[in-house]
Amino acid sequence: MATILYVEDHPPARLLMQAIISEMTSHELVLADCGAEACRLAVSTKPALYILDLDLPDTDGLSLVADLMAVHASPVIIVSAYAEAVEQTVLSDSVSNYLAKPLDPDHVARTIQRTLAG
Amino acid sequence: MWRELFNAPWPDEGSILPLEVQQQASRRIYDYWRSRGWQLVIGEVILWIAACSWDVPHAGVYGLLAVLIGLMFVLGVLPSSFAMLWLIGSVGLLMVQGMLVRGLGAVTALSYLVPYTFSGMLLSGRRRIIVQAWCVVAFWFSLIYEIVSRFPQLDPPRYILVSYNILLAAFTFQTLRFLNQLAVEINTVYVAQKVRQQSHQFLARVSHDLRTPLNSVLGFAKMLRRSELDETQSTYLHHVIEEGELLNRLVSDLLDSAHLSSGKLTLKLEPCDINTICEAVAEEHRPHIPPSVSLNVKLAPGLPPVNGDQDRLRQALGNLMANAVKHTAQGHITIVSRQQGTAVIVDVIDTGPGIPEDQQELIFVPFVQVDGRSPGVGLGLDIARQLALLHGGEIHLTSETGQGSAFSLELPSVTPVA
Repeated sequence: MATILYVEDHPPARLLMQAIISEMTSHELVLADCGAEACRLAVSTKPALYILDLDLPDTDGLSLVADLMAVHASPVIIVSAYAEAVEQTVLSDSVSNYLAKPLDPDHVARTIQRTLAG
Repeated sequence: MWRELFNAPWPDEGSILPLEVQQQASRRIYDYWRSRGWQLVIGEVILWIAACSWDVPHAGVYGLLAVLIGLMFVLGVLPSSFAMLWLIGSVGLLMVQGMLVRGLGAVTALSYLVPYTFSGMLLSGRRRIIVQAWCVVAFWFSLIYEIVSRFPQLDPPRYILVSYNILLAAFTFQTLRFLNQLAVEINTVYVAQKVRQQSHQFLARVSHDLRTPLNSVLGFAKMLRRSELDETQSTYLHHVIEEGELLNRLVSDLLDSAHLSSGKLTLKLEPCDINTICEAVAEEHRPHIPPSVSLNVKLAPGLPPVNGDQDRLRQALGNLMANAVKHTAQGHITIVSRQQGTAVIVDVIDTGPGIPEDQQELIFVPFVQVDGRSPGVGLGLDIARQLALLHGGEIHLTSETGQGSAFSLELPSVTPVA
């Protein structure tokens, strides 16, 4: 069982990810709603995987990736409703995978397993 | 007031024109000067000859210099910088002015030509128009004053001066008209670019805001599908998911159309097997085909690969297929892959109502639906055609009312077939 840190500020999206992780995987989900909280939680929980929404209130996805890597390096999956932005972020080396909203639960579960295994 | 008078809606003075627009404008101005410059040179030559024949002092040397500078300017031997050309051209004009009349003619030239020239180089927007317009008014005023006050003593050099000033006036007004026209055109291009850019940002924002609630609707609906539901509940949920997916496709289509029209969509090119794509598209659409319609797939073996973006080719073909499914109530839909010369062609043939000849171009226009009753916003065929063009291919349509339609996606193959 791995710990996954999901950074997302939209409550229904957090609830959805919680449902996917608890029902379709055996991992534990930790939630953060902004970049600052994510960095704090990354120190205390040392997650095996980060899932980041690109559209956050206090930071943008790419600088958050850099901040988190400095605190605790783990694979990153980017989630975004901006398909364009997602494609650009994927070019960054630290990002393992990306998921475009609207999310498909089966695809999310598969991507998480693949990223953790890989 | 000046803006209305000159009909020149300049871009805001604070804004910076995109480099591309600036280069285009410089090129246009350069071309204009090269073509108009001949008129000046011819005018200078005529006046030079006239001045020589009336024994104006030093006319030969000044005139020769002026004509030489004019010629070099027209032939493009001198630096191509627009400001330099303008300056050199004006110096040539001033020399002719000075050689013809010492006194009032030179004052006329200085009061009008120098500010006109330098304002053209140094100022922009409304200030430039005001200064240049003032120069033209000053010129006409001094010209009339000169003719009226000296009328009784008019001698041959004065005739030359008057002719020369008329030549300059014609040239000036032509130039002003050209510059105003150019300003209007630049402004149009600039505004169009700005609008495109802003509508692009607007669409990106809207699609984000639409996808965020869609994420919850579709995500939770799909999670709910995993639980025990009775038949009615399953049917309701199925519709929620289907309609949600449709809405998501519409949002994606809007974004794709905006990206394609602004040239922002880039392809990930690799050798693709078109038959695999055809099979995938056929399987994807099979569940949506009504029982009264049969789907046939006829794929030619051993087709050369095409250099394309797998996902985008599938999208283009999928849009053609979706169009066929939407308009075919009975009969059959056939997907045929074949080779023609160096091109690989996929035909999507249906037995729908067909498209009248005068509307065959219209159906590829964004947001246009010929029958006006189909679901969707009318972007599918536009996207398919633009994607085909982006791949270096094309989509051809053959259709006859009542006989059905055949859309042919033509793509260049990777290796030319011998």
